[in-house]
Amino acid sequence: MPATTDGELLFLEGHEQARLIRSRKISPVDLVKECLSRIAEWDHVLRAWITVDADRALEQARAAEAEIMRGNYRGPLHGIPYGVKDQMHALGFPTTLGTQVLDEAETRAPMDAAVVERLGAAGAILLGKQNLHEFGKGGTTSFPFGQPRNPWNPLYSPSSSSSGSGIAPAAGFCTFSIGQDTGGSIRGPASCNGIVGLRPSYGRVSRHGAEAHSFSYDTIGPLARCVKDVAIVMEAISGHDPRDLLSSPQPAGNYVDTLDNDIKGLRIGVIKEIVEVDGICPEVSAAFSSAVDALKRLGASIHYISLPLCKYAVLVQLLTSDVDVASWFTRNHLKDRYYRFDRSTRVRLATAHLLPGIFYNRAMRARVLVRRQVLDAFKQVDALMCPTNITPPKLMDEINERVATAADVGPRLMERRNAVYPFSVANIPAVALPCGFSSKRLPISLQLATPPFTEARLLNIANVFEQAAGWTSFHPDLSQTLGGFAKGGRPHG
Amino acid sequence: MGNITDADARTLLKLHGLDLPGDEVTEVAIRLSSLFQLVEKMESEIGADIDETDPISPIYEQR
Repeated sequence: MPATTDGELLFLEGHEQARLIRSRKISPVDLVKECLSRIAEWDHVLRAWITVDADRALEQARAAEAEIMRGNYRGPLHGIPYGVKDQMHALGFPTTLGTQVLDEAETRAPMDAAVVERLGAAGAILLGKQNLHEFGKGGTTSFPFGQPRNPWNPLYSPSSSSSGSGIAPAAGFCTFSIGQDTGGSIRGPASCNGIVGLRPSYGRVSRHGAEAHSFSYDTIGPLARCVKDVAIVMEAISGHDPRDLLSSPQPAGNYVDTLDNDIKGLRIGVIKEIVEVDGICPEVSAAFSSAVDALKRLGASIHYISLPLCKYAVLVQLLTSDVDVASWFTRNHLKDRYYRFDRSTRVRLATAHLLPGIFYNRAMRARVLVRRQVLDAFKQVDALMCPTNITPPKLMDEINERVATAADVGPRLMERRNAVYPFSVANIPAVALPCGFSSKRLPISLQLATPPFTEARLLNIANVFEQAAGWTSFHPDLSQTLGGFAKGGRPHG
Repeated sequence: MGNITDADARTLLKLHGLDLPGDEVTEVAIRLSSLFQLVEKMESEIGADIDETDPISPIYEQR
């Protein structure tokens, strides 16, 4: 089993760190200093960060300390360090989008993203901007700000596109991250790094200040080492924002108070088309089956249900989301700066230019059908469940999306998306959380999903499972997992 | 349907003002061909249901 780690304070769950801060047993300055020290020690290997502003973070930590000492404690995020995917603006930091396409002047942040504003109001401390696949697209092969690596084994992928946002909490670089999920870009990194990641309902969290162009799929959400921390962050960042025209007017919920509700009698639907798919790794099947058994012991009833239209989710999303994104780039940079894009990104955008409008329309109709089938499932069950990935994290070489023959399309473009896209196509909230480890000590993850705007129920089920199963208590000991690699050796792969 | 050659892809890309190197044109042609074939398969299986459905984006539906 993976070792537990050095850095006790860093690997406390955020709400435990908050308790210590509130009771003045530790200062935010202590916590931020430890994070910065760990980043300085290991991020040259993991490359979770693009920009870290240590001076600013410490200044904010000192301000938080002073405020708390005066008796003004803002809440469980006060003094807690976090990072944000470099796809959301934060004043004082460049917004690089992980690309060489932009000139330096074009990376200047014009505003704080809404999530950054809200987290600032809650007293959280922004350490910096996190590494990502270029423009949040996934499939990047050459990273201008360094190759993101998996803290459990640096030869393996930390997934995409919110790679750094998954690595950082897992590695103890910060307490939580904010990522962005169009197809699976929060859930994939949460899965591969062994942490919790939530794709909220579409419209639950304001997209204001995010550079994201897949307008009908993009969501912003938290990644953290436990469900409770995700819930705490969601309470801070959720809610209507008139600056985001598609922000939901539904009032944001309380996600923390119901985390420990009994789940006896809840009906959970396991999606047969995903768990029985050809190519699912036996270790993933075994870990997932154990998780199902755990939920049964907790009183949930398990129902195997068929959602045959889920098999079209990846196609539908590629035909629509890719076109939405490409339609922005057609006037912005793709033609005049083509060779500054990563090869994978530019080929994908070029392909999207050639998709007929007819296909887009037909795919949007099919999207309605897929979504309808997913939503109808909730007439029979309270939640849906499947693995987040049908394999454990893969070696870097195995996840590149270069298509040399037609036979590459399935394994390179579609396989890793099959389990996550049904929920993004349906625009329902979905959470990824750890449920085991492979024989190579790489994280395995399960995914739960519930109807729109039921994050409280979703996080409740996830939390009860997490508390019973205990997988979030494991963290990578970087001196072991990275030590050989950092010195030029090769870790066990 | 869906057998897109490099020449087809190059011509279509040029219409969009995109002039790609040879290996990237080939990859675009392969990706596009695959997508065409997958669309054909989807239409053969659920095309009638697709006909009956309006392409309403799920970003307005609040349920």
